[in-house]
Amino acid sequence: MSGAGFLVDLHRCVGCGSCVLACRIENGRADELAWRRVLPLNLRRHPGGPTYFLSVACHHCGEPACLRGCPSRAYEQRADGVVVHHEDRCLGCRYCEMTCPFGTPKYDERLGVVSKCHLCADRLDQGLAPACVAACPTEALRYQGPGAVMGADARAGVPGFVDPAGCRPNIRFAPPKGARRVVLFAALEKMVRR
Amino acid sequence: MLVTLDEHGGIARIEGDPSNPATGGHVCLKGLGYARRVGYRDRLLTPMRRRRSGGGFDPIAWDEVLGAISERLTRIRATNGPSSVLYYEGSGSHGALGGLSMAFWRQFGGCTTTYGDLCWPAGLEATRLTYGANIHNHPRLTRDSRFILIWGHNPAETNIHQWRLILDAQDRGAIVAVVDPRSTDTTDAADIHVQPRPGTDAALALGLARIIVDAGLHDTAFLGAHAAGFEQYRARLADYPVERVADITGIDPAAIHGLALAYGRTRPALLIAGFGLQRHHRAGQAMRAVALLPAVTGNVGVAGGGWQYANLASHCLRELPLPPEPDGMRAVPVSQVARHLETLTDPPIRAAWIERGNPCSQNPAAPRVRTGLASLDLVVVVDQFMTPTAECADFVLPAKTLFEEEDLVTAYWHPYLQWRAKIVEPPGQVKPESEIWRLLCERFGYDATWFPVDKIAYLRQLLPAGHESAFEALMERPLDLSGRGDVAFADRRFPTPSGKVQFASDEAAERWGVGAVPEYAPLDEGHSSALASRLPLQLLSCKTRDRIHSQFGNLDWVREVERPHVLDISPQDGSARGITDGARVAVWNDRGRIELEARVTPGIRPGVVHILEGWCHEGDPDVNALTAEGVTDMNHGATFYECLVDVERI
Amino acid sequence: MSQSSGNMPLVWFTSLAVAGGGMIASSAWRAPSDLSSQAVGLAFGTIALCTGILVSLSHLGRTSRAPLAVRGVGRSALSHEIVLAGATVAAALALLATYWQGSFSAWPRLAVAATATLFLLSIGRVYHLGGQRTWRGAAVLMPLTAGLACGEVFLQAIGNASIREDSLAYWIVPIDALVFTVRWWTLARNTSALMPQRVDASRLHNLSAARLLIFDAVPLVLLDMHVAGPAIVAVALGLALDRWLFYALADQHTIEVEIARVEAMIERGSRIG
Repeated sequence: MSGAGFLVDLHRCVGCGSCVLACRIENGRADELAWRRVLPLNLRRHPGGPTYFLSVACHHCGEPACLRGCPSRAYEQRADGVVVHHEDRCLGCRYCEMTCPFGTPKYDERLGVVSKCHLCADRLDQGLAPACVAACPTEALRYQGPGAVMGADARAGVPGFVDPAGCRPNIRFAPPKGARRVVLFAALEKMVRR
Repeated sequence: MLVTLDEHGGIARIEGDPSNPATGGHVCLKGLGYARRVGYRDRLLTPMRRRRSGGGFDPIAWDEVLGAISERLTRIRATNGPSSVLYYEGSGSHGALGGLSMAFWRQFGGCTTTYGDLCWPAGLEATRLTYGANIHNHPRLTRDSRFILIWGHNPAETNIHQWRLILDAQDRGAIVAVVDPRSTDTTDAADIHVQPRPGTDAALALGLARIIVDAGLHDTAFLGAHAAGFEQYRARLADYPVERVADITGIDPAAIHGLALAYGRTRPALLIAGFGLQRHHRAGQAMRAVALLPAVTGNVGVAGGGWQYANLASHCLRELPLPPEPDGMRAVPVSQVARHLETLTDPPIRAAWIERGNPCSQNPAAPRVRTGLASLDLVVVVDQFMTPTAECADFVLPAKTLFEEEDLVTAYWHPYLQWRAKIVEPPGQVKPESEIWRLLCERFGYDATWFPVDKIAYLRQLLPAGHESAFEALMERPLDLSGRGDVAFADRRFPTPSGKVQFASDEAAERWGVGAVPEYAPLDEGHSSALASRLPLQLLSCKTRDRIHSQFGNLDWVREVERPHVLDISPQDGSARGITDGARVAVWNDRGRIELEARVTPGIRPGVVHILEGWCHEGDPDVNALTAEGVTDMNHGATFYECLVDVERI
Repeated sequence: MSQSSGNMPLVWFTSLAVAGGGMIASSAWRAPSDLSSQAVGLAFGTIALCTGILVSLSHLGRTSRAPLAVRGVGRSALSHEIVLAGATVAAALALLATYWQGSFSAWPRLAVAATATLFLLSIGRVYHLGGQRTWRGAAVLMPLTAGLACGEVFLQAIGNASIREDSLAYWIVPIDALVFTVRWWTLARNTSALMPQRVDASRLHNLSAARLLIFDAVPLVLLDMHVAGPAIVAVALGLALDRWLFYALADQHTIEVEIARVEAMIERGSRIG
């Protein structure tokens, strides 16, 4: 992947939500909508498929739909690929909520503007990992810098995550492991591709 | 944890402490949740008094509330004696200073306390009887295992730091096998998963041992040198052929074979047992049977191997200096609080002081604890929030959080003693428990010098003999004062009567009246009992990582990410009762009845249902309306998982 | 801009904008055969469009920052729509100002008509999003056809005989009906068993049929019967229904939606296998 982004290890993520809380604490979002969310797939453990969790915030896309559509140019993409939203230029039109196919921008009723994950750009500039990555207790969530080379099994999409709008999201997934889940995951990937 | 405060004294950041070798700089959901908890809108900041009528509480000043409490305590003691007061302390907040409450009660003349433990005592005793001590390898050695057998344990939820290490081992090629009637986040990632009926683990363990021994995979050298009673044990294995074990456990014989051979052939193999394995009447014998498997295969005293249940290496602090124990002390089993509130005499319980616990939600027969308290003349609860237990109180005193008083903290998975610094003042009118006890002592005119003025100096003197100078270092980072190496029993010296691993234990027979060699015995309220014909489903009430039992569950941040509040039921049991996914159901037995939503999940074995424990807010169903006040076969534990129910659609 | 069908400010804004833009276009393109009716059309169209703009401004979280919306020209479809809305109002007012000269000259009125037409197209473009499957395809043309249909019906209703003669209503309204029907058919085809349903099929069909009836069929019949007032009421109601239905049928892709789709496949897959 070309720009900075996240790697989610589907084998290690247990859906605990530490990343969500760490993001809240780091960005002072105590009562507002959280920027990150953790979505279970097949929590019911239907034997027809694997069970895993997708921890998602912003994907800092190569072709960000939010940036392309914003009428006031409130979005800006840094050289490292991080997409930053400038709240002081935001009209609160919420168009980015519509253009983003991932549900990333969050509108704040009280402030009348949207906001989203900025990959802890300040922390990155200090050489620190984003707060969510630092907090992950199983090291499932990782930060990948621009131009990072990932393992051969890292995927741009997995069942449950697709790119319907050509945004080229900078997120990758390491597939789940374990003798039992590997088989279920392979079967699901095949079924979804059909 | 490392906590960064902002300029207003609020929490700006919480991170793991990189100087803790076991957790390695990692933190978890609960640790992060403290950022929300300590300043949460519902936190109690003043003492509260129950209104005389109409329900609800009003704030009351410390002076007044301590006056009212002391006046009533005095009256109750005069009429019924000091042991008519129940002092119940839970494990909601750990620290050496918790013991200071006894400085008051002993001068009061005594009280009724509890003995035993709701969590893990049967397993502790089983391990002690078998290996002589509750110690195990350093967590970091988990990575060196080639086979990790996880039994009755769900580390992906209940020990996430351990889970990370298990995943690391799996990345390096270790096989992960899990024994659990449910499917969990742990079993999802496993390579092997067997699902026995709850309470049949002793049969499974002995069946595995039989296969291992028959295949010649047992470590004869180790057993020859370090086993006591192996021949008696081996004779017992004759009673556990795989067909019988399959019949008892409900596991396919091929799966039992596969697990046994995989465990027996792969070295080093680690066996990690959880508390879930020992929450029934036959807990001690079951734990002994499972605990012996590493010894059978010689996986003891080796890096990457071992039996892992509890590590008490950090429990090395000296006893607190306290007044002498008076005659008026009495104790009841902690798993039978409701019964004793109802029936204890000579004297009966007339008052209760409850701190650091939530027995009206968390104890067996919790609704009866609630009604038992309702009939008392005085109930005082010390807590941070209005829990269901606090709702029963006459007076609620606002409790501190861990950041608001310094203390020394021990552990049970790693050997590190930890210093817990005080980083903020208690907010509002909150006082730490040690301060509450000191004030109460003063009110009664007792000797208050038992309470530290300088807590740091006081805690320093609790360090074990010879380690007093380590205090400064301890304030910088966690310390292992046990003097043991990373590998438990590396020297193959077991502090048992024989100096060896006790495959047969006369002490077990004498002390607890159980068989000298472990055996399987069906549960009184198990799948093969008479009651099962009327209540055919075994109810488990397991823990979730979203909370520590009932703590954190009131926080909005946690409610947003927590697991759903459902009854897990298999498709077979569901369809037999006309229950579809999402339907509203009632779960009931002779002890109680609750209602909630069903989740039909193929992940749970038929005959077993599950409800998470620890829900106690805003109309949540209380699973402890259904659980029994049983006691384990050894060491006074609770029997939460020995619980038959039925379920119906409503 | 939530996905719920209850987002009334957007329904009002787009109804007024579409009707207003269409009335301006229809009033401007034709030769001044009935100048007073065309002037009324321009005026009402301008009022409708301005009201729509005001409604949309009030929907902004930070109304005072509205002027920043022009910064996205060259990149943002929403910027283009906003700029074109303003340009249409300005152009219509400029043309209206020439009313007292007794005529609308050719180049100015064609320029006004073109601006208004581009504006109607730009509304559809705003909703042409990769993450909104039901707003793509024929739906992009709907503000244009519906707007022009409104305009032509309105003018024919209030206009004189020569307007009635060169009215495009009998062309535009059927074209609009066709575009709408194509969209309706595309939606019906795509609601496969694997997709979580947003609006159930029978509701889709009932409301779509109602829209065709009220917006397309009834006004033409009423125009034929020379019943002007009710024809205008019918298009107004029909347009509001059309726009409400547009938002009600929103099917925004989110990760949650995708996961639900896959979970449905898992359930289905096991029933087959």
